[in-house]
Amino acid sequence: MSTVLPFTEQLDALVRQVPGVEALYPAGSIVAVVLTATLDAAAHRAPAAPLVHSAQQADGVRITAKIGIGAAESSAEVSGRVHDAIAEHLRQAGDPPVAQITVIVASVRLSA
Amino acid sequence: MTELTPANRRFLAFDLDDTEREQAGLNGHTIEQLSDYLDRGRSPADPSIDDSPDCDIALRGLERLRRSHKALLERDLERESLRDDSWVSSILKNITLEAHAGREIPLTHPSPTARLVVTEGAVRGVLRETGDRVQNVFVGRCVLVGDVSVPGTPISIAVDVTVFPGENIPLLAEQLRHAMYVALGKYTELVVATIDITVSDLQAPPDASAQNKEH
Repeated sequence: MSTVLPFTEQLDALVRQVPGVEALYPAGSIVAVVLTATLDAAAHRAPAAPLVHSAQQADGVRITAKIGIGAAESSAEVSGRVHDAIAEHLRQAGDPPVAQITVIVASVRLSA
Repeated sequence: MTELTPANRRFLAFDLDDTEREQAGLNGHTIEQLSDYLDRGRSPADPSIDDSPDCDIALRGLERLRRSHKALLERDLERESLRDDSWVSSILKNITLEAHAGREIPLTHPSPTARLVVTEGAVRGVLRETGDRVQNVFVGRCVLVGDVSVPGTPISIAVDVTVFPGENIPLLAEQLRHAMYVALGKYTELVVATIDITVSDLQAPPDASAQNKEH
């Protein structure tokens, strides 16, 4: 059983601002992603669900961000920067126990 | 190693007509739907496409294929009726199959709570785009062979390419291999033992006898 945490929407903005991040994709389950996207498309509205997935589990907070990066920097540099930004954000938001911060580089855009 | 592969060995690992597998890899869409989406200028915006990295990779592959094909047509319109365009459909199918996320390839970070990965689909996208940037080459199939999920395990890359007329194939393969090594070194921490490039299609001008038959 997991609980979605209240600061997830802040994490979306935070991750988007990390240098080298060019896209932020939904990190939840594929079923939830497809259903939400389909409903949003049908209603002609922006995606409502937070893209960075955040959950409180027995061993601590688990955060997952799925990103697309540009060509300028390496996957390790950009994903590491995203991890560090999320970790710092959690420290400032009460410093909850962190089980895992997952950053998935899902696309690399060599050209614009 | 650069080798020529018999035509009947191409793309043997894939079931090219499996629509369910294609849709599963493209967030519920087919390559035809993505092509239509490009035709419409990505409007109206479809979040189920725009929010999918798999679709993003496939769309960029489609755009490069279209640009390349258009350039060929402009260069060589009079031969169009003779050209065998089966390579285009092969590449389209491989773009579709290879865009899906696939396995996760770890990236290192000093924090014990960090789990950083780059997807196999993203890496295939990098290799495909890197190859397509080499002039007169178009990447067909692209496979990461080996256990990419265990850091430090040597793996190999198998790439099929189409080469257009007028190229020195060994030189071109070396140029391509070098570019791919550089890209893999930048965007992954994989230990790449070999990059095997197979020229599976040669887009040569049709011969005179073929032209005579046509007329």
